[in-house]
Amino acid sequence: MAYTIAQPCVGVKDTACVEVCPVECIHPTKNEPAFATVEQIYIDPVTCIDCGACQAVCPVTAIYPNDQVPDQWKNFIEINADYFKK
Amino acid sequence: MPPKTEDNLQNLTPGSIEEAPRYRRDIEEMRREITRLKDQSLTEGDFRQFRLQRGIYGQKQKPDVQMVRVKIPWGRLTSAQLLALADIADRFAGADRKGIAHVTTRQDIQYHFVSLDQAPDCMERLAECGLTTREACGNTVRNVTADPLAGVARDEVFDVSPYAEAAARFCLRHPVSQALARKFKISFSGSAADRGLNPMHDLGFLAAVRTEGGKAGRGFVTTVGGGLGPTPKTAQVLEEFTPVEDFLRTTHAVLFVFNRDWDYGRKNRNMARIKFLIEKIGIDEFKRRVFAERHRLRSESYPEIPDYSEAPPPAPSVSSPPGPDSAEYRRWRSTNVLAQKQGGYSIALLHLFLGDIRSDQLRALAGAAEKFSNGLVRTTVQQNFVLRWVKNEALPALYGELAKAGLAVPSAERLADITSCPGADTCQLGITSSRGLAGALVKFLREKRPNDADLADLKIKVSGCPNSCGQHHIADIGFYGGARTVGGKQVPTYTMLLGGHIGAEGSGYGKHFLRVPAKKIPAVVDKLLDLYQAGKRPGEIFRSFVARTGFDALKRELEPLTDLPESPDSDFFSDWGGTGTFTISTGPGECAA
Repeated sequence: MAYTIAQPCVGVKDTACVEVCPVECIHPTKNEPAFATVEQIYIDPVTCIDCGACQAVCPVTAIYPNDQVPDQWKNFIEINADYFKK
Repeated sequence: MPPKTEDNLQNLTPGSIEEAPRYRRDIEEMRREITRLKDQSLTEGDFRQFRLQRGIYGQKQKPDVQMVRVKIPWGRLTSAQLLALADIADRFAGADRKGIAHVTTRQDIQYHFVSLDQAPDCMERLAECGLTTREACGNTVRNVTADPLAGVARDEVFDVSPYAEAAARFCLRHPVSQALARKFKISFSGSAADRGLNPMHDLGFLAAVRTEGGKAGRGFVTTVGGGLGPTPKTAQVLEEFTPVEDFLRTTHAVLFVFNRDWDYGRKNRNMARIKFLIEKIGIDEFKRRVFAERHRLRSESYPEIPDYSEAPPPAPSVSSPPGPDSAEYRRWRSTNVLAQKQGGYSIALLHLFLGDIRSDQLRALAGAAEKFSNGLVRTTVQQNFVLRWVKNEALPALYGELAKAGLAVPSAERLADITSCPGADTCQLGITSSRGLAGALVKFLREKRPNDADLADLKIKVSGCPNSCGQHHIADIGFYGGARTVGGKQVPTYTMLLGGHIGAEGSGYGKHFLRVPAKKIPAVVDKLLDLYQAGKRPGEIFRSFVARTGFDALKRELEPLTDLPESPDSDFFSDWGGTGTFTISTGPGECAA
């Protein structure tokens, strides 16, 4: 399983999660060019180790374990995964 | 001579003697439930909840290998208990941890690679000498910890030992703490030095005295909501003065509110600790609920605080032979010995390598406790032991005996005494081998920077993941494990934090400083120590040097050392202590199960 960043991140892109992620699976980071153009940041489900460090620091409660993503935001599981298939 | 095993019950607190019959029941239940698991009348999931409640924790080496955690309330152990712990290390610990007991950062003792079938026998041997694994894991009140110098520290307001004992006995098996949203940790400190580490605990009691109507009364500054992990919080004051007569009722009320009001935490395991409840409702509302509950509990009666104090040991029947007066002894005495508040007596710290002690060393320690002290020792939150009540004139002889057992290692609780969690070697959540890194750093400091090994103002702590079991947030230099993917391959890394501390001058958690490939950490520490030694002002401690210099200036010096070569040397792709290529192999943790 992995974690997913959902709707509340859109337009916020706080990056507190990027700082605490031990396996650097949240992108784009502030140092990456794509950061300026994306609407939100994303978790790579392949690299995510399910530690949950990101969830507790998110200031807008945007991050959920995949099995607990609220129904209205379930599509973000795919949105997160798709970002890393580009 | 070490005590004989028939003295098992000697020196136990009345509370642990009273508990003994209940330990038997726990063991019978464990045997029954293992049988039910095997005949498939109990599911794995239900059995897991059951065994965690009883201190039996799954290791990553599944399916049948367990970590057994023994609760040591406020760190107090008798010599007979030390002998039992040695026996258990030999009989039940396995693989490369056979014969080894491990002191944890919360004063527990752990064994690794214990087979599930043997867990009840292991529990039985513990029960014989008044020890239990009950509620050492799971969503319960964990081991109650306390300043290991309680009762003998020169700076203490009063001895917190009897209160820690009362709290430990009150919480064990109490219905309110059997199925909390998450684990709950209680600590006691006797002085502003805060050696119990209250700011990082769910509930902390700091000894205080208040004078009213010309009469001085004992109490505590009570704090709540501290904790480490990915979102560290410093505990907040619940009450500036809780009279000792009210502290168990207050403990009860806090647990009651946590248990009643935090179902959200039960559903969100990363937000389950009490610190998140307090954050959500605010400290003022939390206080209101706790005090209302405490008021409601007015009619409840609580156990008497035990009348506990330690007496000096009887005068030895034979005088100790003089020990060595070598440079090694003088160094050990300068780094490992503290004066007691009782004139003529000293406290000796035993520096363990990463908290490990061999069975033969436990037996030697039991002998030393009988011969040179009052038959008691305490474990410390720095993963060491302390011997108290040592006559000053007996120190050379004590040193001689400890040295024979390999227990007279200098630098106790100084730079070269590094704290580490078990890490990826055995923990399912561990990303990196924190023990491997800590071991490499100790070796590096001893060999390359021997003059810095005894620095008292600089501590290093290492965790193998963000959960901070190695307490990396409260170290001057802290590390927690992670990984980076380079060219499709994984490199073990650590996030380095600077500036953490708990003590008389307040507390603060370390701040994220730099991410460093694991194999580059000794070089980064080396350079940082060079910068400190070259740049510090007279008398300036490390933390102040870091604050004055600033992270940006330090990063400019250190960041170049963290670069990976374009064609990485394969060594960077292996972890400390590992033999092959590094890969992350974490699994679902049982911490929140």
